[in-house]
Order: sequence, then C-alpha cells, then structure tokens
Amino acid sequence: MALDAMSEVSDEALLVLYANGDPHAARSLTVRLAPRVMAHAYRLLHDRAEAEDVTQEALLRLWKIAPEWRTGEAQVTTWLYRVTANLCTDRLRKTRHGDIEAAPEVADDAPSADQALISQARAEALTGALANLPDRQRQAVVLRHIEGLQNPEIAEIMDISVEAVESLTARGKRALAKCLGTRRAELGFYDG
Amino acid sequence: MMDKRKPEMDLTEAELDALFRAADTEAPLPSGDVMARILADADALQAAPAAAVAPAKPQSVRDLLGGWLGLSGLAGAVAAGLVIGVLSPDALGSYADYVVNGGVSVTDYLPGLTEVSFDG
Repeated sequence: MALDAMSEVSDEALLVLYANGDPHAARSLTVRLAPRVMAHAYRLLHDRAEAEDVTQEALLRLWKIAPEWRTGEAQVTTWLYRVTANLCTDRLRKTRHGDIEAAPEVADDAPSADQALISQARAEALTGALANLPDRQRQAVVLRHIEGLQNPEIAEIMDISVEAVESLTARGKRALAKCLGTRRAELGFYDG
Repeated sequence: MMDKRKPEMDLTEAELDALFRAADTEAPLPSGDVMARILADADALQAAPAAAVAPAKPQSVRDLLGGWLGLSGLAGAVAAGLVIGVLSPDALGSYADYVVNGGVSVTDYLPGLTEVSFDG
C-alpha cells in the first residue's frame, strides 16, 4: 500500500499490515507515533537523549508485539503511552539519586518581550517543575493537560480509576502552581 | 483596580494552562537519527518474521518425529516389526504348535499346581 494512502488507516490496521509484511506500514506508524512518544518521554524525563532512547525502545516493543496484537482490545497509542511511562519510570528510578532534582533554571537574560523565548522559558520551567512531582502525579498531569487525553483513557493507561486520575492531576496542578508561583515574572505573567 | 497579587502567590489556572500550551508547543521532535534507528529495528524484525511467534521449524529428526515421546514409541514399533519380520511364518507356526500341542505346560512353570484342590 502506498505511503500516502495510509494517512486514513488506523494505527491498529497499520500494525496488522506491518505484522503481515507490508513494507510501508512501519514508516507510517513511525512518522505518526514517534513524535508523540518522544514528547511524552521528554516531559517525563526532562532529558532529550534519554527520551530518544525511550522512543526507540518503545517502538521496538511495538514491532515485537505486532504479530501477537489482539485487535479491538486496546488502542495502540494507549499501549504505547503505558510502555513509554514504564520505560521512563525505570530510568528515573535508576537516576533517582542523581541530579533529577536539579531542574534547569530559565536563563536570567531571557528577553521576556520575545514571545518565542517566553514560550520556551515557560515550557522549560514547567518541565523542570514536573520533574519534581512524584512519578504518578507527573504522568497524570502530562497526559491530561499536555497530551490532552481524557480521564478514562488516562485511567486505562495508568491502570487506575478515573477518580484516582482526577486526584493525581488535581494534586499535581496544585504543586505546580505553588512551585512556579515564585517565577511568575520571568514566565511573562507580570509586566513588572 | 490594581492587581494585588504578590509574586510569590500560586499560579492561577489560566497561567498554568499557558504553561501547558507552551510545553505542548515546545515538545522536542525525535531526530532523524532516531527515526532511522526505529525504522531499522522495524525492518530487521519484519525481515525475520517472528521466529518467536511462528511455529518453530524442527531442529532435528527427534523434533520432526514428535520429541522423545514420539521417538520412543517409534523405537518400540520398529523393534516389534523387526521381531515379526525376522521370524518367518513357519517359525511362528512351529512356535504356536509347540505351545498349543503340549510342548509347554502350565505345570512346567507352576509345578505345585497339581496339588491345588478345588473341592471346596
């Protein structure tokens, strides 16, 4: 099947095509899913190189499970978010006593008038603050408020109840709001 | 009215949402190198379609014949066939005749049997 003809094909169908030997399915799935996995891993790990390793590993697991994929049981993205989060958690545990607490500060000389730089500063500040949240809170907040997933899907990914998701995201947001409140000016929320 | 919020106050919902939007916008993309590695993985696994999933090819004659159980059954059958094949029908006939016509008696094996009484 031609590559451009695959844009309307579901992730699951592409995975089945891949398992059946289709030469284009893997490329379509990679283009579609790798950026999402990478973004999610980066938000959980706050480390680009580690996030890239996790992305490759998560996709590798997807290729491996393709022949055994049971259609209709779970969305491919849900499965991938779960695998990605588990891989990130493993890496965070290994580096728990490292410098994970040392969230990079936003550069002092960032020109707050430049919207692009403000956006970058906000993203970096948020990612740094997320790194200080407990793993489960961070995962729930990222999935809900950055990835934009609905609570039932997050509950499935994290294997917890919807109520637990709501609790985690609420606590996570409160912690972020408190942590970043002192940096309001450098994040461009105050003019002075 | 002046905004009396102090800088150390918690961020508002709207401010947090702005941060979330920024994080979404600024998410790093996987490099070309990573994309190439991912596709290489996919090609490698697809080229060798799941040795782990497809029924494994027999690795030896033993596997082909159903493992040790099948092999032992086959060996027994071969041995029986060999015996039957080696003994000619005449020999089998002689042996049968020998057994049936008194060449061998039960008492040959159980001499005390003649003393057994069934009277009561």
